[in-house]
Amino acid sequence: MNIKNLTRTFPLLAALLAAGPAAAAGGKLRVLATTDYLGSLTQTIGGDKVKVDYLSPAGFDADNYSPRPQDLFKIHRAKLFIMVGLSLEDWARDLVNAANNPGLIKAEVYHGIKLLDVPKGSVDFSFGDIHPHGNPHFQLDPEDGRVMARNIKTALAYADPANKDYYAANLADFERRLTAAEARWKELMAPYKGWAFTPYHEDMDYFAQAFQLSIPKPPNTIEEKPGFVPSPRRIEEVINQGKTAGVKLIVTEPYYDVSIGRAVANGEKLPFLVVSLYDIGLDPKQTDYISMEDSIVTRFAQAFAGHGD
Amino acid sequence: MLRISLALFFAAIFAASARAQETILSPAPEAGTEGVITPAIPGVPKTFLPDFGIAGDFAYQRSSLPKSDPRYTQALQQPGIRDGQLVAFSPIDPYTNAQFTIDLPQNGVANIEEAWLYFHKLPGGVDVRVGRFLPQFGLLDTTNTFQLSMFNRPSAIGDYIGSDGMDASGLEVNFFIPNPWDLNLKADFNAVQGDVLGGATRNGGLAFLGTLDYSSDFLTNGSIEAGASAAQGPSPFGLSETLANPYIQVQYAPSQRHVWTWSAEGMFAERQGMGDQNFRKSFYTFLDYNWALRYHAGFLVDVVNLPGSLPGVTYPGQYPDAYNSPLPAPGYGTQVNLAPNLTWFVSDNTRLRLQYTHTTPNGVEKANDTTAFQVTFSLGNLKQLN
Repeated sequence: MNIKNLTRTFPLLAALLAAGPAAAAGGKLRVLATTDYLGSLTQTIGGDKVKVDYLSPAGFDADNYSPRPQDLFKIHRAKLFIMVGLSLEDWARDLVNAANNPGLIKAEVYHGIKLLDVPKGSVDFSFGDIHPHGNPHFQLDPEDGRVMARNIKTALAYADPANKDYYAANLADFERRLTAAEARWKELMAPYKGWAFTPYHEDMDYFAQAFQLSIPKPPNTIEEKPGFVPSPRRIEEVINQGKTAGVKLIVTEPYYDVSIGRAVANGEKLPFLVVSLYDIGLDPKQTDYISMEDSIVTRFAQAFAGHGD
Repeated sequence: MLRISLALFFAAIFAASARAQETILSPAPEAGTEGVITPAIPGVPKTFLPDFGIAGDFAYQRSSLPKSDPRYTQALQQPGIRDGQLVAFSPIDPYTNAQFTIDLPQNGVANIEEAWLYFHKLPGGVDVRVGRFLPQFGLLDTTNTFQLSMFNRPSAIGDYIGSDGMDASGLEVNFFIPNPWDLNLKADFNAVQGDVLGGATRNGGLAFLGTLDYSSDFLTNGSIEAGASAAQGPSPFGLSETLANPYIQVQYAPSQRHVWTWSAEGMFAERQGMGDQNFRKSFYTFLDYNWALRYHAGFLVDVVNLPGSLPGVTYPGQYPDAYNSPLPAPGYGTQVNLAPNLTWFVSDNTRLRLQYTHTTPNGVEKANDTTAFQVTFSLGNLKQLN
């Protein structure tokens, strides 16, 4: 490229750059969420006034997500960033700091949730990968889904006050549909009230509470400490404790070692269920928050009935 | 005309960046939003409570080099702390962060590796760092050696910018390049003085580094990052040196339990004033497979040009190795390092690695086989392990 071409190219390039990125959103509010279910709820409440993206892909455990280079740009361009909070997304902190987006509005949806598993006293690394402010895996409790949706509506209305009535109307519609679905789920799970199950990780507590199931302690979870692969000794301990506690189902998620859950289930001669908390868009039956919950509740009921994986 | 066009170009970038940024700097939560909306610019507590991190590694390696070989280093044949760092980070006001890193080598004097201020909310979407820092250059330079996905920095890079990478004092400017196509483009420029190209400290001159970086989603869950860095600055013997460093990294993750990462970097170096022995090129490629979240298997191929042999001439000095040799009759040609490794992340904070490296012979330099065992630790989030 010679100097003449360069001098012709730069003004044209300058004009193209001056167009800026705002036009790419088509006038919609650019919202970035951390997880698929937050993205889905945001799309439900935001409707056609928002352009939503999310960072941790469907099928990925948000606890263990490693940000990618392009994630920095997504935060840089967003107007609103929706997170769960409670240290679920510690990996997002450095992204936000480096994103140079001083106008970014951050929202955390845990406000108003009755938190479980809040550690008493100080915690340190010897506790494992613990969440020091409470358990952030509340997405499977329909009541907490309601709280998240309200917080998302609050955030959208704050970021885009011109459309706050639109968001309020979408929230009301979502709550109406959720209430109808919740009645259906409670009826489906009613025969299993009080039944005990053992999850792999401490992320089913809110689901158990919502449908009056039990997670006996011990063994609590297959993991001895959060985030650490259980040893053979621990697996044997879980099997024995599960038999004593009357556990009826073993549950794990596909981003953990499924063979460990299967070994525990085989040891206790119990049904075994593999279910992901982040499958919206990945599982054809899960297209939004309500269908996600519908799919998980249905599979739980089938598994309790003896038709596990 | 070129200067006017350049000025217009950078003015457009500045203007586009400024327009792309919101004018709201610190929205105060409205009534009813408390707890949901968190401040865009966090407040800084009056109590000084920085984030601390402690990181480093223990290493032990055995090589097949005889003690008479000039490349043999006794200290490396015994287990010990290879590197240790104490890091402190804190916001110092809503617009500025600061970090201070003390490096604690086992053999040698403790030294300040980093001490910088980072202005991250300047107008126009520009970030500025001043102080002493690891400047961005290629894929690896902002990464400490103990954080790398391999035991040592590949010779293709380390032979030009030092085995620990560059560490220099000066100014860094980086910014997102706005564009109407939403391409993920970032530019970074440094004007620094220090242990950069081997000569800046001696000659008091500045080295200039620039990087243009592009990243994008790749297939369903993957990513691609590509770019190029260039550097120009003083080098030993009063000469000057130019480096060009294209790079690419592709990650493919069919699921979170199976992640493939492939990276490659080239290095093209020219040292002015050395006649026809002045052009060097090197290349490395590294493939990593991560399974079950905690385990990695990697393979490095590292191809390095070695100094040319002008008969009877030796080049004094220690650095960089691409232009100097410890041997009285330097080898000539290309040397290849082949290095498979296995890494186990015991936790996010600790990591064990076993690496075997075969180095091919080159002229008078015999082949070398090295086995290295490494234990890496990183407490706190400031020096995360790769």
